[in-house]
Amino acid sequence: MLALPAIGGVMAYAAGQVRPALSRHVALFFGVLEFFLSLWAYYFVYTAPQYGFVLQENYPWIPSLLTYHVGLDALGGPLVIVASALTTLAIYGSFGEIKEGESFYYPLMLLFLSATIGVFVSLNLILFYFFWDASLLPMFFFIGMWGGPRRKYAATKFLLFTYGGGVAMLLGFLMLYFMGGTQSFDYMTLLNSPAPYWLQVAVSALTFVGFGVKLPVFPFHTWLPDAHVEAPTPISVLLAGLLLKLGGFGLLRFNLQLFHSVAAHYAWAYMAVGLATMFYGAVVALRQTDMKRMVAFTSINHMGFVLFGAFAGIAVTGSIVVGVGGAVFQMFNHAFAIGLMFTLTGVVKHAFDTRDMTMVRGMRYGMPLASVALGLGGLAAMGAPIFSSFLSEFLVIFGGLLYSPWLWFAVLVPGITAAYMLWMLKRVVMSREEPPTPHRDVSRGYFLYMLLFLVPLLLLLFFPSLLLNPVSLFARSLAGAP
Amino acid sequence: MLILIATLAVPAVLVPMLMVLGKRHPSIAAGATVASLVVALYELPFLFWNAPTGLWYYPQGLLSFDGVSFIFSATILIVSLMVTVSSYGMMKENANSPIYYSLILFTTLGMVLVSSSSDLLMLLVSWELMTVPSFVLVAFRRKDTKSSEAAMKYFLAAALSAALILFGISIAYGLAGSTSFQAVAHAFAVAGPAEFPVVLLASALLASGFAVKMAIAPFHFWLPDALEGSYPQIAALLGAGSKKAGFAAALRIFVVLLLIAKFSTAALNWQIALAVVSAVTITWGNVAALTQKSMSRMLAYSSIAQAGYMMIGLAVQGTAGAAFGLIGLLLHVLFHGVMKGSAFISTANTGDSVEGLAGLYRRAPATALGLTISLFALAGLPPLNGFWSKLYLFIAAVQASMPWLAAVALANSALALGYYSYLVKKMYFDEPTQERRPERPEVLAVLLFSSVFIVATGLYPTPIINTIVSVLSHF
Repeated sequence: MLALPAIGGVMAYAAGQVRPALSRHVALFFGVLEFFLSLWAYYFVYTAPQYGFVLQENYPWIPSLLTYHVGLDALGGPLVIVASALTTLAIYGSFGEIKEGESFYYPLMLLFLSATIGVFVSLNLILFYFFWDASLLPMFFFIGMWGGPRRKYAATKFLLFTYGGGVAMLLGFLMLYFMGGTQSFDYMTLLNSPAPYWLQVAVSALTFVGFGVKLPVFPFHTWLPDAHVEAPTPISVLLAGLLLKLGGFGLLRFNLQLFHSVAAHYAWAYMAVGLATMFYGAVVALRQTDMKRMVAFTSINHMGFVLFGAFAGIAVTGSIVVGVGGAVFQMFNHAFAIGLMFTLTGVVKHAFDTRDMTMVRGMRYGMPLASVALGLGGLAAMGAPIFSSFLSEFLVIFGGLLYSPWLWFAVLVPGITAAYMLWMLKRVVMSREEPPTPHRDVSRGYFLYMLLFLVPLLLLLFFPSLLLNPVSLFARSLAGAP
Repeated sequence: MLILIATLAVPAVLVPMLMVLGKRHPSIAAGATVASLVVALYELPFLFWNAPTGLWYYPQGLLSFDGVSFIFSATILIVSLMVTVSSYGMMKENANSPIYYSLILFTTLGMVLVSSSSDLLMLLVSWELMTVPSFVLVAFRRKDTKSSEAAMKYFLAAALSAALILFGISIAYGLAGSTSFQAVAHAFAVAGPAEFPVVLLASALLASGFAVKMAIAPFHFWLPDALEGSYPQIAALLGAGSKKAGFAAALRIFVVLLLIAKFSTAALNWQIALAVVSAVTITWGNVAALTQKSMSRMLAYSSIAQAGYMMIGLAVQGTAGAAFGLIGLLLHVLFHGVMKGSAFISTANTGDSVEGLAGLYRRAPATALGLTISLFALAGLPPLNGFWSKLYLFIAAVQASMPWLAAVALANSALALGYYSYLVKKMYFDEPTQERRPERPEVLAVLLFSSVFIVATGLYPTPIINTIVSVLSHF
């Protein structure tokens, strides 16, 4: 399953050498194939009677250092689906967007998918780091080669920020190996024999830096708006939908699951950072005039929810299912909602030649289909009760209130988000068109493509148990642990 | 061992005679050189498995071929092979090309002998055999003043190095009455407190002499100048190959002599001293590399930093991290030889200016890809092989209770990625400023080999690691 996109990448490269246009179709084929494979894998997670890793594979790779140990659990399962689904959507979305270097672009896309799935399923710390860093390089090239005017700055900043975080994480892993008393990089071994408490504190601080840069939390977030603004649309979708999930996943996998006693003890600190990130993202987004920057800050804001919810959950025994479940759910919803929003900023840019929300006027006249999509996307991103993002934000805030009723002001964040989303809609869609120009609307096919992003959100609004059942088992396993 | 020496020495002597053949000689000379290197590489495993000796055991003879020699010789031969193949186009028009190839063979032979000497005098002779031909190689562009200047600087540094080593040897001989490693080690081990300063002086002189060749701070100053002035291929030979011979010698002296001499108990914690030198070298090399405008200078400084990483492997000897450190050191020697060699060789296609790299992806896509793979491997990014060797070294540092060294080295990886990614940025993101030039096919062939090697051992390094482990356990 891991190797499939990589093999596909090589084949897409070979196809691209024959005819550049061919590589996209090869890439799309492998993306769809991987998507169905991940659904199949998730079926095993869903039907597992209790929490645990399914489909485990364990082969020695490098003696005494690395085993190829992978497995899927309720935390990684939904994210693997997100990874394959979003990458496939982004590959399709690139068809009109990427004009040159196709034979290099699509293979990188599949390589990125391989690395991301690798992160979600690794059960060995070194393997995890291996995939973690391997996911950086494709993104570096995506932003740097196919990006906007300041792409070089953005790509380099992205690479150095996230690599710096990764280095802190690796140091933490090494300390865990040698001072933890297990002399093992295997996740299961480490989970079953917790390290001394002081070491857990030190290592979780180091890994928090690594994952926090990726998530990103305030104040490590500054690479994100730059990277987003410069990245081409499909890459923004992946960046927000997938790359940030790596950070969220890492926090839950290591800081929450592996170091759960530290997490429970220092939950207030994590929650404070989460709240700060939420408010910061929301308030700064309010002030943006560039639509893409606004969506980028919405991402920061939503990732703050993940952090806040997960650690609010661990702090109070009764709320663990609510908080942790909400956090995982939020990651899933965010990926699709924000993916759609980024796609739409690409549409707006294409039609109006600017993303400045003070310049774009009267979208509903020339572009009815795109306006409908923007409206729906806005509703999904603000957490309106017609999409499952409502449920996840509700769960997260509910978890926060269970921790302390004094956190009522967290409710303000969805309020602010709704405010700027509606303001954006008012300015861009509902305003009078002046001067009236004949804009070309998106094609029906592209409209349907955009609606695909909303399908999982609607599905999970009515059947949240599809995701929440396994995740709550995961959450309970945390509560049951000492 | 004699067969190996003959394989390299006989062609080295015969190849210059090809000059009498006139115009047809260049391809014959190159072919003979490549053939002799390939045969030598093929002989190594047989030589090793038939050798009666183990790792830390030395017969009374001058040479012994053990696991360490095996890995170093293989690295050196691979680098020389890359250098020879990639020189073909450049040397085709040069009337003196047989001499060039012959010198490469001689210096290669010198390096192989350095890595398998078991006697201090033999070491010195091999050392000179390695060094003297390389002066000429650096100065090969006679008309170019830069080349002459580089050769002169290199000559002075190397003379200093040889003098230091010779002085160290003379003191060691005075103490032991013999120059064999075994006798010297024994003399050091039984040395009383009164003789301790003499032991210390001899070790320090030898260490400094090797450090010049290894380009360890503060003895690194000559390397950037020498590499800038010479052909890219020769820069590869010096920066990726002959530095390794310095490491082979240092490994013997530090590890074997000092460990056997139980030096660590004798009021001197040499591990910490080496660790500090290593940290300083890594940082110095990386910081200096950040601002370089010339590719060869930047790569030279990066090579200084990489030597610092290898020093970690020396510094952890005699501690809990010894096993991982030795594996990491040998792994890094082999991997770094290939990746630094290919990075230097690719500058034969790109030109020496960092600014001139702009838009290389459009001008010379194959070279750009090969150079990028080498650079990211040097930075230690997975899934490339540099990641594994550095990981071993970091683990060794933590095991040796020197987590600060691992932290410095890790922080430096992030720093180094700064300038490597700057080069990649230039190549891929910037608009080309120069005309498209044809890419030399023989350079591409070398880059193809190194890229495949880097990616393959990055994805699955196990066979190499297993080989190193079994080689080391073959006592």
